[in-house]
Amino acid sequence: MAILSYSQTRIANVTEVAVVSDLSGTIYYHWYLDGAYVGMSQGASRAFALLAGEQARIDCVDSNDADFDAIVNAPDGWPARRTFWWIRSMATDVDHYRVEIKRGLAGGYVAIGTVKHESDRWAYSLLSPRLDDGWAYDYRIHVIDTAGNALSHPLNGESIVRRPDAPAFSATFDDQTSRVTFAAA
Amino acid sequence: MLAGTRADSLRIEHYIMGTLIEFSIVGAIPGVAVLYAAGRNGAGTGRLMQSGTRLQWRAPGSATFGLAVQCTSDGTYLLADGEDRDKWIRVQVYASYLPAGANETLVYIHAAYGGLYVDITAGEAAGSWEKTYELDLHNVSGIILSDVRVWVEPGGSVTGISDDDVTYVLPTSEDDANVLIYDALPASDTATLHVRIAGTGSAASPDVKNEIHVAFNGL
Repeated sequence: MAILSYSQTRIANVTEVAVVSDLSGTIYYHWYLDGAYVGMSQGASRAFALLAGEQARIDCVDSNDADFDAIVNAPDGWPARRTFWWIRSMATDVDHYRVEIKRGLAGGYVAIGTVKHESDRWAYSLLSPRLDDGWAYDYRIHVIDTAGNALSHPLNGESIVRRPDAPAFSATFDDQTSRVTFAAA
Repeated sequence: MLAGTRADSLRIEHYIMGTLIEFSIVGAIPGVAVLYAAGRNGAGTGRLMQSGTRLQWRAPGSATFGLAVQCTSDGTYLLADGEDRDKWIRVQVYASYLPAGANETLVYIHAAYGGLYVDITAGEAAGSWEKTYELDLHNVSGIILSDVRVWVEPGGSVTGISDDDVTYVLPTSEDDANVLIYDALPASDTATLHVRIAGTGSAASPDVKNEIHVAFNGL
């Protein structure tokens, strides 16, 4: 299985990515945004929302197997985004949820999105923006009731390490051969 | 089966963070919240099936759903895979929210990194940086657990484990001659596990996990 080509079409903040697969028959396309799994489609294209100036990496893995495990077979690399997924509040006066993230120890929490509460919906999700490598992040979800009162639920924080430190090495130049030699330090 | 019994009897905990979380879990059926997945499941896509008040679990890579568990009232329950009972998930059930009929959903289990151990720089690793963490092996069941064995995943960052913070060993399998053994752990009791991580000259890698394996005998 292989994706032969990617193409993209952008209209304002929406970019549609289309792929060509070398498979035939019923094909399942599994999509990853900056390494985070975002879903499956049987169509060979998917739309992504990007803010002005934002960049993202799109990966697509194709398969004829309806039971293809998109997590086990995810592309290499540590995702740059997080999917916030939570079970509804059991309170009867919930209005909406607000997801906030904090970058670093000194920064404050910033809202990245709100999701309206629906009485017949069990779970909600929100994809984070691209997280910066080498930074520690904290997350929390606020439950806001119809009176505007907020109850905060902190989530496990983490350090984003997508590109580990390079190994220590030395470089020497030989002016006789004009060669640069790299060696472990 | 209720949570805190059999395979869920022993929990690895940190005195601040509580139960160590190895996975991030996404996906559930209305009325069900997946609280924890046993490390033996591994990262991947499992399936949760519901029929009325009966729930079943199929672990990533498994072809068989486990025995159905009746969840007629609110509470926590343990659902085991059909091929390997040590691949289980602990769920919280809100019985009044369970939908009618039969439903099945995918449950995505993602490995979680960086929750406990800090990253180290290449300079710290080259300078023989070392840190020791204290964890609790907590028997949350009502029975005595005996012959508790602890070992680590080979190839990780752990350079030693100890039960006394004096003598450290590095067993990499349950059959390893150096496997750490704790005597009988009474109900609700805890034992301390010391975990040492050291920089060994290589750079920190986000793909390296500190995996601790445990096995025990119980009723």
